Parts: sequence; C-alpha cells; structure tokens
Amino acid sequence: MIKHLLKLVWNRKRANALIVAEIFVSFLVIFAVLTGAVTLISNWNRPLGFAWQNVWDVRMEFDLGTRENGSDELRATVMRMLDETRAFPQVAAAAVSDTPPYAFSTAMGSREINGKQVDLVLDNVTDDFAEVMQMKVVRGRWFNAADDAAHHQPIVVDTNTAAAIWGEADPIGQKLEEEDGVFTQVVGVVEGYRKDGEPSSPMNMIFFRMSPTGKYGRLGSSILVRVHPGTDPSFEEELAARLTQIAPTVSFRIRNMEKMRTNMLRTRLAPLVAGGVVGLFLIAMVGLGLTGVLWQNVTRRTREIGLRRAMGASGKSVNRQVLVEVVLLASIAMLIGGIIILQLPVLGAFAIVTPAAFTAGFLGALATIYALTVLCALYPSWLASRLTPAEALRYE
Amino acid sequence: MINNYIKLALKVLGRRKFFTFISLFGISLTLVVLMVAAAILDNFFAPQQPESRFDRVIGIYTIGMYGERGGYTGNPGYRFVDQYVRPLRDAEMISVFSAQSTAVMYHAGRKIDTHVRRTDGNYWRILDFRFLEGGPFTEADNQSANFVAVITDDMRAKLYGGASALGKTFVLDGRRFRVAGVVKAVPITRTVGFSEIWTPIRTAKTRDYETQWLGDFSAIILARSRADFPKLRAEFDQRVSTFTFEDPKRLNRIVAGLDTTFEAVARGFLGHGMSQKSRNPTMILRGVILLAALLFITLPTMNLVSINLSRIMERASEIGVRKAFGASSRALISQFVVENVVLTVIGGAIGFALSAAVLAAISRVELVPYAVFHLNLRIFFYGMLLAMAFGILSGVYPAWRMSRMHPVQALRGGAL
Repeated sequence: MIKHLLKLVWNRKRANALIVAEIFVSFLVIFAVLTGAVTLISNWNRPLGFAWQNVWDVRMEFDLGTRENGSDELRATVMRMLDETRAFPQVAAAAVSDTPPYAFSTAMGSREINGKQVDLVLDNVTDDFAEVMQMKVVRGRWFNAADDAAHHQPIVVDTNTAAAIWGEADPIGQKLEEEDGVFTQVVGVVEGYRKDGEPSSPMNMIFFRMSPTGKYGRLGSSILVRVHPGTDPSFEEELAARLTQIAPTVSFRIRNMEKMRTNMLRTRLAPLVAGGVVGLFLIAMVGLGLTGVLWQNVTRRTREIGLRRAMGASGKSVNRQVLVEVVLLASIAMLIGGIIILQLPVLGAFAIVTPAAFTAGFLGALATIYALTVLCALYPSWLASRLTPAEALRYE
Repeated sequence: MINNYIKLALKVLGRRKFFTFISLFGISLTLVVLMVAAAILDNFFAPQQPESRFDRVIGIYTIGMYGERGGYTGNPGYRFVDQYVRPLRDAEMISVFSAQSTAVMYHAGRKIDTHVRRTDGNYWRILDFRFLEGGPFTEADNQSANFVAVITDDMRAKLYGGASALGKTFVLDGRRFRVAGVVKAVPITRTVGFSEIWTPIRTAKTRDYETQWLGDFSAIILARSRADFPKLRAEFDQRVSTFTFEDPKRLNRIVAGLDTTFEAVARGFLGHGMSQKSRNPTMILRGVILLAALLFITLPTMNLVSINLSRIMERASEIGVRKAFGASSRALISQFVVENVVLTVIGGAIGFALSAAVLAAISRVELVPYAVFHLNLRIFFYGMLLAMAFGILSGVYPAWRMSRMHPVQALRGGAL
C-alpha cells in the first residue's frame, strides 16, 4: 500500500515538490521555535542561585579609567560608604559587587585549562555578598575576614564552573593561574549562579574576593543592600542623603533589584516573543495554504477517486489514501530536514542549547508537522470520501 | 488591456473566497512583519529631530585599546576627544558630550528615574532640539560650571506638574540645578540626542574625567558637507597614529575611527575590534538585514506559489479556450502576473493598515521609551514595492507553467 502510494506521489512529483519544500522549511522554523521555547522554559525552572527580593543596588559611576587606576583613596571611600550603609537598622546586609545580577553588565573571560578553553563569567565581591544575595554554599566555605592573610587571592566558583574545569574532582584548594606566576585558589563552591536571571542559560561563574584593604580584587562599582522585609521605600532617600554626605565626590544612583529584574526580563523576552509570534504566523499561513492545495488536489483528482470507488474502494479507504499521501509527503520533507538538523550538533550547536532541548525541539517539530499536515488534510480527505462513484466519474 | 485583466482579476478573486482569503492572509501578514521591522529600523537610522543635520555629522562613539592580555572597548574618555578630535581643522563645528546615564532624583518626596547627559555648548548648535520654553545653556555656562540644565517636557510634568519650569530648580545627585530650557521629549533611539536632563560637562563632581583616555564621552563633528568626511577621517587617523601609550606593556594598540551613527551601529553589531579591518561595516549590516528579510520571505513566497498553481488548475479550461483562440503565451503570462499583482497590492493595502495599528500599539505600550513609530511615505513606498516584487515573483512561475499547457489538454481540464 505504502509502496503504491509512493508511486502515486512520485508520478505527481512536480506538484508535490513544492509541498515538500514548504513542509521542509516549516519543519526548520518549528524546530527553531520549539528548541528556543524548551530552552527558555527549562531555564526558567532552574534555581537562580540567589534571591533578588528586598535587594537594592547603589550603583556608583566610576568611569573605566578611575577604576583601573583604582586609587586607594577611592577604595577607602567606597568601603566607608559600605560601612555607613550597614550601620542603618533597616539594612540586613551589604556588600560590594562589580557586576551584580540583572545589571546588564558582565565581565567575561576565558581560561585555557588543561588544554581546554573554558568561558567564564567573573565578579569581584566582598565578604558579605553571599549573605546579601542569599546564596547557598554547597562545598567548602564563602570568603571571610581570615582570607586577608591568604597567600593566593581566594575565589569561589559555582557548581557549573567546578564541573567544567575539575569535573568530578574536589575543586577546593585548586589553583588557577591569572597572570604569569599569580594564582587564585578556590575556597568554596556555590550553587549554579545565573546573574542575568531566569531566561539565561547556565554559565560558569567565578567570584573573586575583593579585599577591603586593596591587596587584591578590582574595586566593584555597586553596593548591594539587603533591607529587612517591609522596609519603607522612603528609606531609599534617607540612604541616598547619607551617602552623598559622606562621599560628596561619588555619583551614584539607587535601584530596586525588583525593577532591574523586570527591565532585564522585558529586554530578554521581547525578541523571543516577537520571534515566536512571527513563527506562529508562518505556521498558520502554511497550514492554510496546505489545506487549500490539498482541497484543490482532491477536486482535480475527482475522476481518479471515482474510478477507485467504482472498483469497490470504500469511502473510508479513499479518505485514508489522501491522509497517508500527505503523511508520506511530510515524512519525505522531514527526512531531509532531519538530516540537516542532525548536522547541527557536529557544528557545535550544543554550546548554545542543551542536548535535551535539542531533542525535545526535534521530536516536538516532528509531532507538530504530522499533526498540522493531518489536520490540514482532514477536510479535503473527508470531501474525497464523500464523492459517490457516479458523480465522480461524470465530473468534467 | 490592463483594465480588462484587472476586471478579470477582481472577478476571479471573488469566485473562490477561501483561496483569496489564504492568499490575502499570507501576503498581508508577511508585509506587516516586514513593514513593522522597516519602520523600527527607519526610526533608528533615518535622520530625524533633534538629529536632523546628521547627514553631515560624523563622530567618535567607541574606541578600543588592546594589548597582549586583552583590552578595552568602550567610549573614549574626555582627554582623548579633547586632544584628538577637538583640534581637527576641517570641521565646521565640534561638540563633546558624555554618554547618557541613568540617574535617580528624589523630588518632593517622590522618586524619579531619569537619564542625564553632560554636554558642552556646541551640542545645542549641532542638534536641533525643539524648545518649548527657555533655551539651551551656552559654552560660557559650561566653562564656569554653572548649575543650569535643560529638561524635557516629560520631566517638566514629573517635576512641576506641567507648569512653566523656567528658573525653577531641582536636586540631582546632591546638587541644585536651575532649569534654563525645556525641550520636547526625545526618543531613546536617538543615540546622540536622547536624554531627559542635560547639564554642562563641568558640573561633574570631580575633574577626574579630564585625565582619562577611556571613559564615557563621545564627540561629534559637523562637516561643511559630506564630501569633507574623507578629509576629516584622514586627518583624524593621522593624529591617532601618533598616540603614545603610557604603559606599552599593558596596552599598545588603539582602534578608533570617525563614523556616522549608522556605521557606529554596524560596528557595534559586528564587534568593534574586528570591524575596523573592514572599512565598510554598513555594507555587511545591510547585507545581513537583507538576508534576514529574504529568509523570512521564503516561506510566504513558496506558499503563495503553491496556492497560485492550484488556482490555475481550476481555470485550465478557460486557459484552454483562450489558447485555442490564439492567445500567445506572453499574453497569458502577463494576464496572470497582473492578476497576482492586483492580489498582492490588495494584500499590501491591508498589510499597511495592520502595520499602522501594530506600530501604534507598540508605541502606546512604550516598548521603546518615548519612541513613536509611524509609517511614512518612504516606508509605504518600500512596502508597495515589496508587495509588487512579491506578486511578480510568486506569479511568474505558475503563469509560465500555465502558458505551456497544451490547449487540448487544458480544455479537458488536464494536468500540469
């Protein structure tokens, strides 16, 4: 039966080629949309590695030059601002960070470790950062004041970094070379940390300890403040006034992390939503077009169908013939599409999407295309099955 | 003849309503996507107030300094633009200003989020803001670091409830500024023009910025005409080639160039360090945009072609009759192409109306702050051109197939 239908499909190859090509492109589009959606959803359900509620960000405006030349005086001023902030009864904890969560600023680096290139996201933070962001230490410990005496600059990595660099081995105590002969040493591992928030994929995070004395660590440009829940918003102005008073030369602004988060999510999601809407529109269009073409095919093949009916084929079997033909066309299109898509991992697609999302996108696209083509064929095939032999044969 | 074709086309469209609907649905929504994208790009890149004169402006927005162990890409510092851009001889006027940065104000017990940009006096002479009251501050204000500011009408409403703001004051970053002028709000898409509050450069809290090669400044140059761009670029490149590094072990290579705003965006898109090698990043960006549009249009075109093929089948006997009476292939092809163009133009008109609605919605929800997207004649023209091209493209192949049909077969309602 299938072989016979394949022959029928082949006989009308010119008309069918277009349908196959169209389904092929739709398959690629649906694959892209679904893979994106699955990636987004699985990212969304992953723990963030920190808590953004009740956190304020005092963002100071140093320009690049000031910070690079990082005068001791400036560092002392920032540490004084940190201490003043902490002194308020409304404040639960405060810490300095260079590139805080949701801040649209990211420090990136890559290290060659054991001949393997590892991309890293970096931040310089003070000892209370873990408390402010409520991070979970899964191994070792977070920074503390005793680290001032450490020989190598202490770092904390997240579980992703630990896995990427040391695999199963215990990362605690491991050293990384920063510059020639200058090392950092791991003191702890925290839960996977995604500073760009819910939509972002896991990244390899490294926290460098910024020492209050200026021994090491780049001066961070944000003071992150965790306030007690229910703190009156007017406290913000009070804090701003106090900080202006003690550090008149530092320009800064205070932002609520909740607002920064909304902003980040909007910026990240807008293009995804736009892409999704365009994808849906394309699929709807293809669906309608396919229905039209199949309908027209049935009308054109009235005599062929009539002949089959006259020879004793039941309406049901005619119905099935139309459906199976469409499914065959879709299968051919997806065979081609599948071969192309399966090349993507070879080209390094897994650097962007996880194998799970890739597989889900692939299978989802398969299922969607079959469902879509069968749906489009339902009405035309029903029309075909309703034809009576006499009517069909007479049709001119 | 054309008249006849059009009349016929309209009749055919009315006959199979489902097919007409499918075609129009595809065409109009495809055009909506393309036109909305075009309107947004147009809003970003076409000169408009307050950057009306930008067709003869080039500037420096990004520089890179690199060494063996990495480097920096970002805005130039004040010292760099002051020493390497300000002295350019062939410019009509040069302005130096900071990047806009977000700021927070506490005014009458309320928190106001805003954007601030620090500028010199020339900024106001190169850009053409629409002043609703008062006027800009001057270079003299900048030199003597007067605490004066220009604000937008939107800020005026937030600060003073819309009453006249002239001479009134507000506190920003701990200092009190006096309002010198109020301008109409500027869309955030204006890379140079956008801000909500403008203050003189020298009102910064410290003078540290004056010593920095890298920082958050930009400079724009108003040339006498576009023809002066190459001369200005050559002069600038020559000056930059004399740049000496303070610590050549750390940083020893500088990448800087004068760009139009579109070139600057293209460079940013391609990655700054790399794109300096290709002198013409705009070509690549244009190419990428065009390619994206072509990719997007593939599916709708294929869809339209297959629908068109189906429609022709239906009319096989009509074609057979015309062929039997001696109609040439060319006549048949042109008839069918005209029919298809009529269809796409109708679809284009629907698409145009829908685009206007979508853009109005995007503007209303302030997806992009202060930006009002609208369709203009240029976009309408491009849209229609696109619709025609779409129509011809998707009409020619089916028409050609049709015209090759044998009259006898066609009369019998035969197969293609």
